[in-house]
Amino acid sequence: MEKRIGKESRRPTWVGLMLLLAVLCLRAGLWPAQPNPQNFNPVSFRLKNGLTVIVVEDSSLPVITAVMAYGVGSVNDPEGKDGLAYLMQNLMFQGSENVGPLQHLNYVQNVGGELNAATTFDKTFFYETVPSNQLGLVLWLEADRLHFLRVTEAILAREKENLVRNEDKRYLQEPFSRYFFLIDQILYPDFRYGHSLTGSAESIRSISLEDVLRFYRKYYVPNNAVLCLSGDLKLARARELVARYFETIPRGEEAEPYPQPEFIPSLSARDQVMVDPMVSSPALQFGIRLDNLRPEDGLVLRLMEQILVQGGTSRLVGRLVKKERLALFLNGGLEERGQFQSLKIFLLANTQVMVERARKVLADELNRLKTEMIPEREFIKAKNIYKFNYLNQITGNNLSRALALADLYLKEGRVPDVVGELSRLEKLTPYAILALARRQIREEKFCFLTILPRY
Amino acid sequence: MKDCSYNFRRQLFGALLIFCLLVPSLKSQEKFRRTPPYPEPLPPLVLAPVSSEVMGSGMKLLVVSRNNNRLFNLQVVIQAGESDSPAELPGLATATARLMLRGTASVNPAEVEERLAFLGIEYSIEVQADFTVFSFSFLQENLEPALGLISLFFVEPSFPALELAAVKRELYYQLLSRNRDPENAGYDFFLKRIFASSGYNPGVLEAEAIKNISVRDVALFHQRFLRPNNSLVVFNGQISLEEARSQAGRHFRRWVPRPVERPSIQKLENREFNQVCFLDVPGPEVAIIAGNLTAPISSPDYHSLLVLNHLLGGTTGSRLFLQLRELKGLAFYAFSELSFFRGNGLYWVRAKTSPPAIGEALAAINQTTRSLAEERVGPEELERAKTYLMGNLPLQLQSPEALSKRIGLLELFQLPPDFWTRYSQNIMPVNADSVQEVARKYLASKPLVVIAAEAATTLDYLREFDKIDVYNRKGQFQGVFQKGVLKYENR
Repeated sequence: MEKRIGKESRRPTWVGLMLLLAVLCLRAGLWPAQPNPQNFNPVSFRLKNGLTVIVVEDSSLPVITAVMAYGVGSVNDPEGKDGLAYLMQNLMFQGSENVGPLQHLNYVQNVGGELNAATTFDKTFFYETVPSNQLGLVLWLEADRLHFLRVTEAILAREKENLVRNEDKRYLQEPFSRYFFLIDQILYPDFRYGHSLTGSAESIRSISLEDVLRFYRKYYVPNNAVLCLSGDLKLARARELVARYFETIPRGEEAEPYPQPEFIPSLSARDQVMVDPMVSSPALQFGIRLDNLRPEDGLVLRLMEQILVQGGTSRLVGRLVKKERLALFLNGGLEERGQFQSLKIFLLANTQVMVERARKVLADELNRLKTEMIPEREFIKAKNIYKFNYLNQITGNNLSRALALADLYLKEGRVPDVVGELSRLEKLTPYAILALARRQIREEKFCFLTILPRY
Repeated sequence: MKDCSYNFRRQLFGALLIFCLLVPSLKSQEKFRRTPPYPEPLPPLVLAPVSSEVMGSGMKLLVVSRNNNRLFNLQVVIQAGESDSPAELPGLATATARLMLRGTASVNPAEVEERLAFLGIEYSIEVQADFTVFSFSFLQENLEPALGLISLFFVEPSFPALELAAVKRELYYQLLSRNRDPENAGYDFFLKRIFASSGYNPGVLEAEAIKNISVRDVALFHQRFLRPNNSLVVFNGQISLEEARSQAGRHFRRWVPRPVERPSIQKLENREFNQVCFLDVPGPEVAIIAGNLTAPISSPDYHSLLVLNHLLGGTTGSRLFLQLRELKGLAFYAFSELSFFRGNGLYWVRAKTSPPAIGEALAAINQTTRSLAEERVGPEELERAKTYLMGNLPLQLQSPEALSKRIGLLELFQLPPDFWTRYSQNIMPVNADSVQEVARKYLASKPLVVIAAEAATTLDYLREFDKIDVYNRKGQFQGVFQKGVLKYENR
């Protein structure tokens, strides 16, 4: 009898202990509700100088990627100096105190590595993928150009001319490219938000060495950067090497508050027609700026984008290109600029009449999002595609993963919670799109830019 | 004494002050920053385990087991490509492959597209001269329905005439666009010339011939080559050989084997080409393509050839780029490549230049190419090339799609299973002698040269050449350009 009572009295204690352990583990993030995808265990830490470091260990191949991302982009171009952020990206390859001009490329290439860089509206990324025994090399290279960049008048003049030449070439080869910037100017009537990332010949030529050095000293500082390392490395060794190359680089001045646009959030409809002898077919650029977005809107917007414009079975491609054959080609998507996002669509048609009819269909499809609930199957399809793309980005290869991590950190100051993101996705219903569309899609915000050839 | 001590203190204070002021700049010149760090040892390349089995239908299964991965890649590799298209119907293999994903006997084309999207399947079709790869990536959780759909493309194809017309139209415009680039047009022409009268069709597509492809041609090509006994299926994800066997057995059960005959390939020898061809391609750019036959990928020369190619023109740090662009300013770029075909291989140099620089650029290409046969390469340059090759291979295996393809290539080219994992061990022993030996074997003889540019604006700059065979933009022979005069000929 005593024995039985004893057993009964002990059982709840044991179960309780297990439960407590489980809760503690869950709270500590040690026991995720679903297993994390393979090769995704990000750890982040910050150096005294403010440099944030994110490390993901993945030993599946002897390869590592380093992404050095700075919180600076075209939004930080001073007025009249359009293209400075992009020019700065190019100058970062032109040599530093201990690395000769273009030697950065040679150092990486000589060990079999690959590298590149990209500038966006508010971020600049530099990245290298190398054999994993070369982690020290890429950290040495990135640290050297972070603090010891060398720019001379001669280097600057050459790079400026390269940019101007490339810009002219781009326009000759892709005459529609200039309209991608024009629609931005319409959507964001504010220099910082709406100007062209690559700048104009005039603005690039007006950039002085002093402008460059001021920009570099202000934004290329550890406290405005994130270093993301992903691949076959050990956290302890990564910490040691990062400390060696970056710890003594002094903190820079604190980043100024994110530049706010001068325009008022509401935007009245705009409709412009341009005639260009360089283009061969009529085309339409459409844009709508989305403002007052809530943090939870991001995921819903991505699903809406998927349903509307991504892939051959999306609504706009299905109707405009395949069914009604009003467009020869159509693409588009969401673009983020600070607190705003915009949905931009570009289409090519055979005739001006087709462009006009396509405009109506486009408006009709956007308005339909506000009035009709997305059918369940179409919604699941969008979720499946989103989930595949998301997991592919996070687990596909070291570069896509490191870029995604650095981007998210600069934007939201956090590393991705894959389980949480997929769980939020699971819980979404078609109603979320309907509600968002009702808040954001209004015809008075539609902007159209029609481009006509001169026959 | 007191004064002295005071002065000493002042001096000491001054020195300390200067030292303190200098500290930040001294820090910025820390010794370890002056030179790149010495690399740690390169870890060995270990790939996910691969198991294989031949099914009753003759279809070969290759299973790459990667645990705890939520994405799956499935590749169906067919041992037939554009070289198997009849000579009068170039493009048939490509049209057939594209048409297979545009409807099956039980699922109409729109429904196929919808189902592919619904399951979040990302796919690509690659048709090479000797093989075709269908690659499908999707969520692991969708394996069963994805396989159900994908297998229909092979098991019960239908070839709707409307869809064939769309495929042909798409292909036609893609080819027109491709051939506007003188480098692409020049390379295609080079391939045709180098394999001319060999009996081997290197699989060059022709825009004008696309319209001749009929539904019957496609059906026959499919019946002849797209057979399970002529295929490899690579399962890459969370799956065992047993599961893959069961899945493949269930979904590909109705795929009927038939005997597949492919003509045997003649091994072609590297030879002297005393020919410079000019291909008329409109536009301001000039492309030079120059090359010769080498050896197949399975040859013992393969790893030495890789090193040789890297030295010649593998990257922007290689000899061609440095000579032609950086030192002499003769070209916008200059690289070299290796291409491998069933039973054969070739190297080719590609350079983009301007009309006035063609002569000098070609002389520099020849000189740079010959120098590797004539002189032993220095130890530093050799080590750099080997380090690049050994370091770069793992980068090329990062995506599941790339890994599946490399695994499939082992079977296609009958290479040993450890070919990729032993890659570094095979590169390591390549030395200056073996590089010079393959250079003498393959680079010493005169290459076939193709200059692709606009005839009207370029020929005038080529007066110095002894003789140039001129071809029009369709690749038809026009005449001989000699001493500044183009003599038209009817051949």
